[in-house]
Amino acid sequence: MTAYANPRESRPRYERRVYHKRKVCRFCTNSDLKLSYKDPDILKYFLTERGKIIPRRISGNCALHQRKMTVEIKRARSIALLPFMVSDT
Amino acid sequence: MKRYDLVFITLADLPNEEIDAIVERYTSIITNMKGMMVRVNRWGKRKLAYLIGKQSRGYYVMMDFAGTGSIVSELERNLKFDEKILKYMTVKQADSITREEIEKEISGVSKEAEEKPAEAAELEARPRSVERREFSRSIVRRSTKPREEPKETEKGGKESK
Repeated sequence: MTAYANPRESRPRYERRVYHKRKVCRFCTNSDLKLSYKDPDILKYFLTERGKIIPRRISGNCALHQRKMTVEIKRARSIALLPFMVSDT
Repeated sequence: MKRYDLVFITLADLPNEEIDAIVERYTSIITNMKGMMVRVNRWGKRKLAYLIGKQSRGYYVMMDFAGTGSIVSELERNLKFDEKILKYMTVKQADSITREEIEKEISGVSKEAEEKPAEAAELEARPRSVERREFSRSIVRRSTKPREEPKETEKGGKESK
């Protein structure tokens, strides 16, 4: 849009424009969802197949809910509702 | 008084009477020490996410109670020595709660319990709402593929032999 005053902007061919969709925190938008270690089905979606917690930049959670979620995931892990780690074989 | 959740896992193949006895035993500890039992939820048999004491299944029981910290330490001391208990966890839910508040809630809970079947586990009983399904669809799932590099090296090693 703007004039290519900056030489960097003048070669846009090689710069791939990554489209970022604004992610909204699911727990902020939907108040019905309650974070609890008793509900591993919800927490499971925030784990990778390996059992790691998905970072905020990918899950789109807000800081508050991500913080609360990690605590709940760790609680669920400690009573064997969620795995600490999933190994192949 | 503080409010706690106690979840413990017993051996999966225990007969029902024995689980009743275990629940009763820990309930009596709570009530004897002037705690208040709010509810006992039996989640039932579940598959464990990892092996505990070479067991892959367990019977989950959740107790919701209010009391002092000494009750928790007494319960955990007993749970530790119980061979039928695979694992337990106590979580503090509220810092201060009065007797009246709990009594109010107990009366509310018992009304709910009449409507629902007694065995309905909290996890399974909840209806899967449309919102929830949408939620599951919208979640980003990253597939962590197993790395292929080590396999290749293995192949390479075999070929060289």
